[in-house]
Amino acid sequence: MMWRRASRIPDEELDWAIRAALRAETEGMEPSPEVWDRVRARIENARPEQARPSRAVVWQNRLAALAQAAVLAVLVLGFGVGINRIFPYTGWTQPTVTTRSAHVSLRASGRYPDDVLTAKRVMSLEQQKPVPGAWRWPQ
Amino acid sequence: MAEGEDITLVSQAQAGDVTAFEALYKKYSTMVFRTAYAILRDRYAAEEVTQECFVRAYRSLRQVEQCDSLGPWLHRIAVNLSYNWWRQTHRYQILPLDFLTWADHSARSESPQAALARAETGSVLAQALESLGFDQRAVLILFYLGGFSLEEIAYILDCPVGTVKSRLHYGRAKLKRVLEQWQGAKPEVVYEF
Repeated sequence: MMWRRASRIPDEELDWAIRAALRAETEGMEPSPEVWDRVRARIENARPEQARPSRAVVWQNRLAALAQAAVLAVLVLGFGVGINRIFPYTGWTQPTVTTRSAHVSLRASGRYPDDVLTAKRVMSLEQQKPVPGAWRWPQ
Repeated sequence: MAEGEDITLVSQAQAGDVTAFEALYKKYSTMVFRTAYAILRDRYAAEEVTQECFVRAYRSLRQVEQCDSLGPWLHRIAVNLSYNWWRQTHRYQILPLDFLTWADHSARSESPQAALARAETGSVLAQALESLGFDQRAVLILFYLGGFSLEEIAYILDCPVGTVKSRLHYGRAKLKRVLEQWQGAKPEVVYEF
């Protein structure tokens, strides 16, 4: 003897109930006639669109445009390289450290323009006695 | 309408004959509309889905090679469109079944009590269907309302047959549970000797 729980709804009855519920829910329902009118209108309006090229043709056109662009780029690049070989531009190869070399040469010689403050000039300025009424260093 | 006529109509429609496509529309539109309505529970949405389904079908009619799969193919489009609609709106209106329609329909052959019980059962089942996810609901509707086989449903939903079986099983189990709870079914103890 064993205990078990009995199922109250057999599977066949459940199937029947679901099927009956769904069928009764949609029974007699049909799309309104305007739906076909709209479908027909959209189909007839879309007819010229069928003359559009297919996807393969579209991709073919895109690849052709890409190839043309690549050929054009190669031509422009080749033209530029050719011009460069005929008229080589040497400006980029010249040294551009003129300012630095001049500064280094000035410092090496110890000659600085008058408006350049060196440590020596600052010390000499600090040792100067202030003239009465003249500008003084802030205390 | 025989399948041979379908082949003729499809080939004529593929050649641009709108009248042939109209005949196909008349044959399949009601089925597609009812499926979309059962899924979406919205007449306006179902009409929109039906319209878009046939427009897309006409544009892709050249892809049709086997006319015996025209119904599943149309339902595949319709279910996908229904899913898009459901996802976009993301609201699910709970529309109870028309009680009077049930009563009138049932009163022809059943007693008032039986008709009432059947109407209530249908209402409960409809609400239980609402609570299911889209996939389970679509499988149940295609199986019970559309009468499609498991293989056809797998094609329509673009999933393996095992997945269809699983969804059908769990959907039925949930409906059964809801129905039993509604009936106030308490576990009964029976003896087995």
